[in-house]
Amino acid sequence: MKKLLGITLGIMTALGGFVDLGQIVFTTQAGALFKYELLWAIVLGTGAIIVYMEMCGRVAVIAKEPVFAVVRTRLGWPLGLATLIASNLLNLITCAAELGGVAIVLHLLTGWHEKLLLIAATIVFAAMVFLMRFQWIERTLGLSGLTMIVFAVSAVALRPDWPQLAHGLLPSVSQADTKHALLYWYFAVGIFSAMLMEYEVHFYSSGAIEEDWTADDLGENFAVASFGSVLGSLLSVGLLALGALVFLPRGIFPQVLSTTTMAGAFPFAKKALVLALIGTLACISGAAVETALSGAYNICQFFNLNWGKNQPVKSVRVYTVAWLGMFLLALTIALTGVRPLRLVDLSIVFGMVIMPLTYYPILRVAADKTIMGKHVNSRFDTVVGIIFLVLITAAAIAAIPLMVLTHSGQP
Amino acid sequence: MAASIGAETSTFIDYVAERRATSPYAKGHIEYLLSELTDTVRELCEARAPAGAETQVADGCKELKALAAALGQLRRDVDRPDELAREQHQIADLRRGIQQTISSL
Repeated sequence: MKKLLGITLGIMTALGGFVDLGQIVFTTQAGALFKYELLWAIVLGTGAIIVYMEMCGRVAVIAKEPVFAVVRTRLGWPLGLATLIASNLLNLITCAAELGGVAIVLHLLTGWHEKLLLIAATIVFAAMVFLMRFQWIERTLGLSGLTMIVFAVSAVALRPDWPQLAHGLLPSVSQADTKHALLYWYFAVGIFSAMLMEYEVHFYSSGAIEEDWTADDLGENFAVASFGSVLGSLLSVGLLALGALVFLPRGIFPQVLSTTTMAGAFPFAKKALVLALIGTLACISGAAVETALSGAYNICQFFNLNWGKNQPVKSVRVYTVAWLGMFLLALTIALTGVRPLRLVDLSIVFGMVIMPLTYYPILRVAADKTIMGKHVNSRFDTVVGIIFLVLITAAAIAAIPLMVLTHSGQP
Repeated sequence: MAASIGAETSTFIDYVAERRATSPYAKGHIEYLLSELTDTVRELCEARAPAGAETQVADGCKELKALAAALGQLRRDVDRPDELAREQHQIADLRRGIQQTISSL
């Protein structure tokens, strides 16, 4: 049972990580514009996150080094510090967007005032993180996120054209014109980036240490990383299919979160809509908590300070102040009224730009026999890791030009 | 973008008429659509029209404002199923107008 519940770390990491506010809207938009043609980007992103999540877990267990300790030792102080600042800015922007998204979903569920709900939700999250042990946070958010399955069920109920869906596994090289080609690649890079958001591996590797994993748990590490990621990936495919089946034929380009939640329950009645809203709420809440905690993990790991959700508050003061500060700053940003989806667009693109700085040091340590001993990467792991790193770097280079040329993906 | 919001409003009215949306969701969703549309109206109406397209831009601006007003009315009528059919006709007319303006640009 303990092993079974252990899988919730992977589920929460993946659902909160790549089925967050950005991915929900972004993937549905991709389906609404390009039908199933971007399925390959989801598959590629899933492969990459499984490979790197597994490496992060293994490095955390064997080298006892979570991601930002690795970043500091491998990139050196100046570049490491720059990566820390950029990563935490990204975490902050994403956390603000997710809190804003939570308030939107709560408003859609209750009809109450959105800003009051925003404040109340942030207080509830802070209380939850303060009072609950790490395992219970991941179990609560990870398991409630499973209600998001209603999106995949809706997609299947709408009867997608399976052979056409399978065609989407190969990139489409020809688009109608340059504008469409640029949009296509913007969404491809965006989907790939959203699936590899840095905070997923920050959270996952820290979680492995929080849960006291040992070398005996390494088999489970692969299972947890794979199961959570494949589940998140299937939901992403469901979102893409819903965009293609609900919005494309009607000429709708979904621009607000409430539009995509409607798609999640489109073939069904009211109860499915409520379920879709609850699933969305759980995933976005998971992302809000993940980003706030990741910000605190990063700071403490980089400066070699005590950290840990399960430690007494007195012994992890900086860590506690850091995650509380993340929530407070994110709430302040969200209260300014900036649209959550605008923030998410920024975080996906800038997340891509700094992504190689997170994944390169992990690959180096995982492939270093002096540190990892018999748990070092196999040649296959390293080659696959290098291939994905090359793709990540290419996407990082293309991200900003594509964002500018497509006006952040406006058709 | 306006054409998309028009199409979405039309789909949404059917969705509400089939009693598949809860009341808070229906009202909230219209608020968010209206907010997006208001931004689009502002952008279009405050932008300098390209030479030769002044009339079309002015027409488009007028149609978007009418669509925004229709969305505002829809929010008030969302719990009154008898009003929804009338709203659907109005939105269909506005969509045709927007489509014509887009085609003429």
